[in-house]
Amino acid sequence: MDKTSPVRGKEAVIAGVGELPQGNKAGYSTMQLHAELAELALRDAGIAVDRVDAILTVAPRSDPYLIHGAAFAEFLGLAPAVAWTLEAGGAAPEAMLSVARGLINAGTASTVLIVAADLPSSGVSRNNYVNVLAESGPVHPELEKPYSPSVPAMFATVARAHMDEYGTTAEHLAAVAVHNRNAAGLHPNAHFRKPISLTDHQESRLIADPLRLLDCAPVSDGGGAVVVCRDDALASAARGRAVRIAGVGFSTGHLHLSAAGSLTAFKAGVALDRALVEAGRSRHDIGLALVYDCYTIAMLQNLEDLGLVARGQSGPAFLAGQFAPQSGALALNTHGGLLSHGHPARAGGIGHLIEAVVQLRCEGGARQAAPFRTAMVHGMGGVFASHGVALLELL
Amino acid sequence: MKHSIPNATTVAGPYWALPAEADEGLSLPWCEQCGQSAWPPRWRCHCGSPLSWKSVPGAGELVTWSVIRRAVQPDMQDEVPYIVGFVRLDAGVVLFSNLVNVRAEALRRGLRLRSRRDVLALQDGSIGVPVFEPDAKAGD
Repeated sequence: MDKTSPVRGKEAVIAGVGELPQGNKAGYSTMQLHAELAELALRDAGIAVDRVDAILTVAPRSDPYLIHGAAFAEFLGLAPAVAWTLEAGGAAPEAMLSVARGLINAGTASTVLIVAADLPSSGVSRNNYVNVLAESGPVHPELEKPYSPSVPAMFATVARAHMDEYGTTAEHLAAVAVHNRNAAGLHPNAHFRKPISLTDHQESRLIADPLRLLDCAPVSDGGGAVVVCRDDALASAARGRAVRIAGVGFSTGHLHLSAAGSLTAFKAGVALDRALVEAGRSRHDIGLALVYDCYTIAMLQNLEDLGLVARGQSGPAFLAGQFAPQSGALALNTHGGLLSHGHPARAGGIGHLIEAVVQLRCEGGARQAAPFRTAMVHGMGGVFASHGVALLELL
Repeated sequence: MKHSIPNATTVAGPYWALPAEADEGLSLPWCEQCGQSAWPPRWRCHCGSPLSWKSVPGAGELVTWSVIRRAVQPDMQDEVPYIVGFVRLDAGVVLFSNLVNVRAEALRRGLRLRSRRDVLALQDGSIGVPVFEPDAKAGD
């Protein structure tokens, strides 16, 4: 037996999740939002807050602490062994999950509280947020910023290349936006739930040609919390709802798009390959995919890079309704994704992880996917730069 | 067009330096061992050899682009629409830059481009921001 494998019965599992409605949370402080999410996830897990001996967070744009995780521990009145803040962009949820598992398997901690939350809409001024995105977002400060790109424009160059290479059209992009909005309409916590049509998308204003407003994820206050612990520490009532981490994988191709070896193929699939090897699964075992979709083109590009859809086929597949709920095919971003469930800045992607747990537990209500075994959660940092994949299954 | 001032003291100083002759091309990291350019600047070539700066012709073709309709930086709002894109130099590397002196409708993959400099006057001298325009001589 591989010595890094956990002893059966001492496996790190996801015991609880917590989420609040995404959108505008004016009146909240960032710390208060973190604390409420933590309480929800701990209650869901049936675990008392004083059992938490590790805290992992991402650095919110709306809070300036040196070590945000330690400041949050302070706010909760805890003195855990570990209180860290990770930087992995939109791959942070998978990175935190992997670190949580490592801490537990190594015996460093037994109960890990993961919280990713941010208040980009009401917690900081819009100008401040935009400046931070331009200064320390995915744009290279020396090589790209002098040319005044916006973040949507960087994604737009990839969209244009995909159109030239594969014949992808604006209507294909629109079909992604409509898919995610339809899904969000069935989720009580989603930021945008009002239905949109292909025409609404085509009539929304151009932001960075060829991307329009409805190709871009919104700026949402929100986030979520996840509790990871050893399965032998679970209350018996929680066992049936616990989710095992079957496999995790990562890949990093670049940070800035200027350093990407290609503008039409990136490394998400490498991360999935690594996770599949650990899980002993194949792509055919994946019944639900939560794909990082900060822009419509990100959904198409990532699906193809992940190897879940053939190159150039994802746009036509969306337009043909192949990923529609109950269509029997792969279920995709059933919560509405970053595009409609919401994009809480640095916490982007935590909603994907939470949705996988909810769906595995068959607690998705009206949006519950057809029965499946394995859920794939994909996170992405930068412009197709850093990828994290987690494969999750019911314990 | 307007540009924010690059911090020309870190990884790519020679790239921004104003050349003595207007048609001198672009300064890029160069590997003598491989006989090719590297971009963006890095510690060593992928072959492990050191890199040095060398002037290469500013000729290439358009890979992909975006027309920005809404600027992020408030002082760029009066420049919209303006164009950013990736250019594959004949010297091999792909550069991010602005496309100037061209209508958005005329852009297409493979369009022949040549570099020119937008001169920015700073307190301690001038720098030349490399941008690209259609190469009239390419008979496009």
